[in-house]
Formats: sequence, C-alpha cells, structure tokens
Amino acid sequence: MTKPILQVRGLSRSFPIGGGRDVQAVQDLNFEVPAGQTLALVGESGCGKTTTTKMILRLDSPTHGQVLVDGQDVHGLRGSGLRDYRAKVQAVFQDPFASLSPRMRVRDIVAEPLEVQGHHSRKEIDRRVHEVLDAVGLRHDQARNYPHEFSGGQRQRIAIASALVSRPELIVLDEPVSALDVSIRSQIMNLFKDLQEEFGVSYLLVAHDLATTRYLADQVAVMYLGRIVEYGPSEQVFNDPQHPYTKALFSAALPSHPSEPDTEIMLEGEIPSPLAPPSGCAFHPRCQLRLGEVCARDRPRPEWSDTGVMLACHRGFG
Amino acid sequence: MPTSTPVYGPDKMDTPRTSRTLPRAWSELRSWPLIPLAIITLVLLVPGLFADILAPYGPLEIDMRARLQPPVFFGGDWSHVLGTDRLGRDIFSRTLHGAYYAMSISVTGIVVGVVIGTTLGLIAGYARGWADTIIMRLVDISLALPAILLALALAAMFGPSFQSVIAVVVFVLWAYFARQVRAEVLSLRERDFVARARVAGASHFRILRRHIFPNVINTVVVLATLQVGIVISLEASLSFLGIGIPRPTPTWGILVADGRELIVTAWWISFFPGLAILLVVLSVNLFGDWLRNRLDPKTRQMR
Amino acid sequence: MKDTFTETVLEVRGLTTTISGKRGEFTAVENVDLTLKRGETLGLVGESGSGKSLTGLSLLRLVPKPAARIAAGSVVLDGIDLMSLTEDQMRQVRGRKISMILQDPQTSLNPSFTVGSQIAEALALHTDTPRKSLRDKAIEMLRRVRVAAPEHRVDAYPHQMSGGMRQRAVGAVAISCAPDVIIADEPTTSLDVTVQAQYIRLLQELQRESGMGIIFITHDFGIVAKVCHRLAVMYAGQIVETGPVAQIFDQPLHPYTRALLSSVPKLHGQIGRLPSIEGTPPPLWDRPRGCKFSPRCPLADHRCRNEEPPTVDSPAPDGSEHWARCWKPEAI
Repeated sequence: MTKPILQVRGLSRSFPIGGGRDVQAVQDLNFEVPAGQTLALVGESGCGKTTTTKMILRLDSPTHGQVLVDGQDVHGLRGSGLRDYRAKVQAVFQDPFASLSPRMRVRDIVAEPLEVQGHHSRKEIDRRVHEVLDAVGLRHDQARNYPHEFSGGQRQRIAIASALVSRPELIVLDEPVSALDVSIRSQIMNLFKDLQEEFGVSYLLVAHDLATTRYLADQVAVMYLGRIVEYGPSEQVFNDPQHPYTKALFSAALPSHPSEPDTEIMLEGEIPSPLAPPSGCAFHPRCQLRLGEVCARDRPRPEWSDTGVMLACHRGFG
Repeated sequence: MPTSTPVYGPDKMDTPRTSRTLPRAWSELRSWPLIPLAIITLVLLVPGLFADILAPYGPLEIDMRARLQPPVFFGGDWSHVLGTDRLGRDIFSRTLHGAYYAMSISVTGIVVGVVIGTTLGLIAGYARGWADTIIMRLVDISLALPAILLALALAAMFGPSFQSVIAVVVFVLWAYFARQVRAEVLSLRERDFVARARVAGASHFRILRRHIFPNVINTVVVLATLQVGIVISLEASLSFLGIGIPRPTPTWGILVADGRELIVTAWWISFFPGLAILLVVLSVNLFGDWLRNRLDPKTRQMR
Repeated sequence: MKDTFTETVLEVRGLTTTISGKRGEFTAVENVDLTLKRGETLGLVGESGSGKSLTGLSLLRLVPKPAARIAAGSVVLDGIDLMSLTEDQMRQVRGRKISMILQDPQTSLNPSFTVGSQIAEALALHTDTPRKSLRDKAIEMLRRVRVAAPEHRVDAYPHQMSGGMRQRAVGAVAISCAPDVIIADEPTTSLDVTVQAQYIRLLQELQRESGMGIIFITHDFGIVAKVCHRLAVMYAGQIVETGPVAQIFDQPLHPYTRALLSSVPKLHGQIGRLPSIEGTPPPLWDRPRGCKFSPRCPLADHRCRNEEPPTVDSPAPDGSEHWARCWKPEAI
C-alpha cells in the first residue's frame, strides 16, 4: 500500500449538552487514505460523517485523537505549516447552490485558495484558474459570471475547479452528487475519476448512496452511531459484507432493475439518538443476528481479516 | 433533487445572461418609483443643497411689515408664495432651508449609526462568544431606553444642539442595525460557502470582507433608506419639543412648532413644513420598499 | 410484479398547465396523458424542472396561483371530471378521494398542533366520524401506518418525532379518509436508506389493504424499480415515454430514458465508465423546437430539431400500453 496522505487516529468528538452531560458524536475513529486513492465514509444521518469531515478540514477540533496529513498533526499546525495544510486539503460540498459565494465572480471563487496564500502573481493566478476551468470543462469566458447564472451541475464544476486550483493532495467530497439531477450525476462522477487519474489527488468521500460509493471508492468505512463498524477494500465489503448493519444497509439499497430479487433485511425501528446510545454494541437493539446478552453488554473489539477488512461485531468473520 | 431548487426556477441556464440592451434599460427605468423619487429630489435633495440660491429670502430675515401674510391664492400675493409667520419671515424660504437640516441630520446620523451598528453586528454575529454577549447587552440597553429621555438628558447637560440631535439619532439607529446584521451573519456564517472559504485558508477578516459583508450590504442599504423617514420625524419631534436643534434654526420640526399657537388663524405656518415632512417621509418609505423588493436576495433569485 | 389491474380509477387526458411570470406565459406541463388503475402504482419520473411536481399539483387543482394556470385537459377520477367541479366541490374531493404526500414531512405538518389533532381534522372534514371517536380513529390510523405506541404518539407534536415517524404521520393524514388515489411527491427523499425501505414497504402494504392507486413522483429509478408497476418519464414538461416498468427497463424506446437508465451507477456488476448525457435540461420557458430532447440527443437529426415527434406504440407482450414520443425509437 502506498504512503497514506491522511491518517486518522483515535479521533473522538463530544459536545456538551448541558447538565454536565456530553453527547458523543464520533468515537475512536481510525482510518487512512492512501495517496491517489479514495476512501468512502458511508452511513445514515447521525452516524458522525459530517463531524468527522469537519475535524479533518479543521472546521472543528477533536476532543481526543489526531488527524495527520502527510504525517503532521493538523490541529497542532500554526503559521506556514497551516498555510501548507490549507493548500493540500480542499473540499467540495453537497449543495452547489449554497457553497458558492453569491456575490463573487467565478474567477474570484476559483482563485480564492491561491489568493489567500499571498505569494502568487495575478498572472500566475489567472493562468492556474484557466487551467482548472479547462480541467472541469468550463469555458474561460465564464470566469466573469456570477454563480446564479449557472445550473446545478455547472456550479458543482466551479466548486471542483476551486478545490483543484491549489493542487491539493486530498479533496474531501461531502455528498458531492446527491443534490444534482440524475442526468448530471454521472457527468460529475466521471469527472472525479478523470481528475484523480490526471492529478493523482486522493478523495475522502462522504456519501449515503451506496452505488455512488461503489463506483468511486477504493475503500469503504461503514459508520453507525459515531463508530466504524466495518472498514476495508471496497470490493471486499460490497461483495461480502460482514457486519449485520452493513448487510442490512446494502440490502435496503434500491434495486437497479425491477427483476432484482427483494432480499431486503428489514431493520426494526430507527437509528437511536446519540443522546441515549444503546449499551454494548450500539446496533444491538436493531440487529437481526444478535447473539444475546453479550451484544447488549460489551462493546465489540475491532478484528482484522486476512483480506484487510476490519470488523467490530461479536459474531466475528463468518 | 435538492429541496432548494424551485420546480420551475431559473436555475437551468446553459449560457450566461446577455448584457442589458437599451430597450431593457428603458423598461427597467419604467419600473422605478418615479413619483417618490421626484418628490425626494424636489422637496429634499435640491432645496437641501441649493436653498441659498433658490430661496427668495433669508430664512431668518424679519419683515414686520409683511407679518402673517397668507399664501398666494388664499389672499396673499406672489411676494411670499407660501405666506409669512408672525415675524414676517417667508415660509417658502424657511421650508427650503429646513430641507437642508432634514437632509444633513438624516445623512450624518444614518451614516454614523449604520457604520457603528453594522460593524458591531458583524463582530457579534461572526465572533460569537463574549464579544457577542457584550454587544447584544448594549443593544438591549440601548433599545430599552426611550430616545426622548436621552434627548432630554443631553439637552439638559449640553443644551440643545445639532450634535446632540445626531447623538440621539445614532443612539436610536445603531442597536437596530447591530441586531439585524448580527441575525443575518449568524445564518450566513453557517453557510457552506463560508466553510469553503475557511477550508481554502481565508482569514477571518477576509471571510467577513469578501463572503459575509457583501451579503448583508443590501439589507443594510434598504434598512438605512427606510430610516430616513424615521430620522426626519424624530428630528421634527425633538425640535418641536424644544430639545432638538435650538431656535431660530429653521428645521421642519421647529417650523411646525412655530405655527402651533396660530394654527386656527394662520394655518400655513405649520401646514407647509408639515406637508414637506409628510411627502418626504412617505416617498422615502415607498422608495425603500421598492429597493427592498429589488435587492432582497430572495426575491432577486426569482427574477 | 405480475399483478394485473383492470379497473381504471384516474384518467388524465391532455393536461396542460401554463405559468406566467416576468418571462411571459409558457407551458410547463404539456398535453399529459396518464392512466392509473385501482391498486396500481405509477411512477412519474423526471429531473428537476421537468414539470413532474406541477403535474401532481395540477391533478389536485392545487397549482400555485396566480402564476400557474391549468389551461386544458380533463382529469377523470372515478367517473367525475375534476376540471368541471366548483372550488367547493373540489375541496370535498381533495383528501376524501384523492390526497397528496409531500417531500418534506417537516413542513407538511403544522408544528403548533399535535399529530393526532391533525389526523382528526382530516377525518372531521371528510368523514362523518362522530366527534367522540375522532381520537380513537386517529390512534387507529397511526397504528395502521405502524407507528409504535400510537396511544402516546397521538398527543405528540411533530418536532417530538423522528423524520421517519413524521413521514408516517403525514401518510396517516393522507390515508385517513381511504382515498382512491394518493399522489406521493418524492416522499422518501429526506429519509435515510433503511428508513426509506421501511416506508416503501408500508406504502405497499397500505395499497394492498385498500386497493388505492398511487402516483409516485420521483427522480430515482431505484424507487421505480422497487415499487412501481408502470412508469411515465417526463422531460421538459412532456411525457416522453410510458409503459410497464419491466418493459421500459429492458427495452426503453426513448433515447432519454435509455441514457438515464444507463447513467445510474449500479450496486452490482462491472464498474466501468458511466455513460452520461451531455448538457443540461432546458428551462421550461425556453424549450427547443421539435423534440425537446434533441439538443442533447446523440441520434438527433434535422427533423428531430424542427418537428414535434410522433407517438410510437410498442405494446408489451401482454398487450399493455407502451409508447414513446420520438422520431427514432431505438427498440423498433
């Protein structure tokens, strides 16, 4: 495996909710993104995906643990180290209608990551802006326009251009296609793949749509209620899911053809509130395969298989 | 599909909009509120700037031979179009000069109030924490204290003056702007484009200047316009009560107050300055409403 | 799904809705024909701006006034032409015979009233349930949409419920008067995957119990594959293809349907490069001449770009209707 660009070690975040109590948003996360590859964080609402990306992007700080980019702890950075990190890690957000400043021209939106570095000439910035506009398939003359003059798909291209301009090593993609129209999604997904090939950039993908994930990710980490329950090579996890939650999640995914057999594992109830997480394994109240008392009592320890899959379940690999 | 996308909104455009052409400029102009603008220009701006040239008499010029002359068409003559007061001062000239005070007080007061209020609102909304707490407590205090009371206190301490009227206006306005701006900043700072700017490495100052301020400036301009009417009325009431600008300065408020005792016999002394106040305040508010519809990002998106 | 449905419950012919605004008047829903049988689910699929939601609102005569106006067409529900009813009569039909579930359960329940009182309100409006038994009936409705502990939830406010629970409550309001037809506009878009699966199952069970017809408005072919019997694809205000779901998935006639189906990433099979459709859908106020899809269609020629395409029939083996609006239907 190549050198990881991003390493997350024992990452936890809790928020005080008054009365001296805390709510654990994410707990003890460990994963890494190898250079030039894509890791997907998959899970439903409240699983802690967003909190995790915020800490990786340094928009929030962890209560415990570390985020290492190129081996350096992101949250200890100051001065020039911080500036380097900001150039190395960029992001594309879900809603292209909300993520572009409405009163800035495309050129200024795209150029921002370079302008804040303060050591590029205007000419250099313009050259780089044109370069990335080419890369994402926008015309140079569109740089003069404002975001509201573009469609959703084109706005997402602008956001991608802006994320690329500082030649980052890692781009966090937070549900990058779920707000787009169906006929636009595949354009943007192909673009992500092309850009990865061309620039060797790594992605941390956050998604709830499994088919999108499968298409883009080399590795998958499945999260449930703030913890990773299964983590491994995308092919392994998709073809042979081990954790009962992963199985249920995959089986609940919508079919791609009406003749596909309905093999759905119906989960009972909804995701519990992180304010009152279940004891032991957080999934046990909804688990169809629970063993019994042990699931409600002890938190399962992560185990590793020979194929490089991490699993946190009392049942173990089967 | 994003919930924010309107079912039939103008969001699908392949080519950017073409630049405005001349016919469009004309239809654009026709949508402007021309009558209010004309009134603002003719009653407030032109007299405010050129009262010295336009007024046939000095505002304080006493002519005891021409006391209490009624306006032309009401028994008066063309020498004093709108009549005179009991010292023979020309109402027309005094009303024109009054526009200067209405204009300078509202412009000075609003500019100072808006700058202070917007700055503190930006800081409070963006920084949050203790800065927010302190600023918002000051806002609460400021809003709880009646303006008249403050004006009375200032007048008692320093005597009525132009400066103390400005101070009252600023005092009334800043808190209002601070609160409005803070509320907008609170929601803007959570928006994705601010998160994106932070990820890009933008400093707090840059985020405020390039990403947040441009999105509140419209609201500020609209609100500021709507305050003109309030400020003119406030100045008039302070002057009317004798705790504003001291006599014999011909502000509209003082002019109205001057005619108070003669309202039955010489109605024109109060009537014309009062009419000026009414027309200007109404026009400015109409213009402000139009501006709000035009600049409000929510309605703007629908165009 | 092998079920066959015989009794037509809703028949829409030539439905046309226009919108007037600063860009003048333009057609947003053009000449829409739909047939829905009792017990059947019809998927109405399209991208944003295709006119699918406006079609749904037009069926209920709830188009946003005064901007939108139903210009032509008939909507026959159970033998009654809804277009000929007065507004008062239409109010009687809405909720009782045809009702709607909207995308966002957050906004379709009033936050100031308990869930139970909102179900009771619908019951009181449209049925002659005695006042005393309204509450019991509301509890029963919540039980029918599989809300756990309905005796307690009946007194809960919307904000005290989870997203999935709220959408169930909306469903309870919609089915409370046993309507013949439910129009569901992207009801699962805001739900999580596992909750969505539960909700879809619930809708299917309710349909089996009551035999209501469902028009499921969505942009997601996965949902269509899972729940729908028949499918109508909308593009730029028109229905460009309609037919049985399996038939369309296997042999799409219209190039747009075909391209959309192949551009959706799959959970199984090869991971290749995704085929994609160039360009973006046209705005409804500026639709191209001829075939609306022609500017994005790889097969388009001069005729496609200038003349309105004809309707091409290709009935399914069992004889059920399948047609497309195209000059070059590929499967023929």
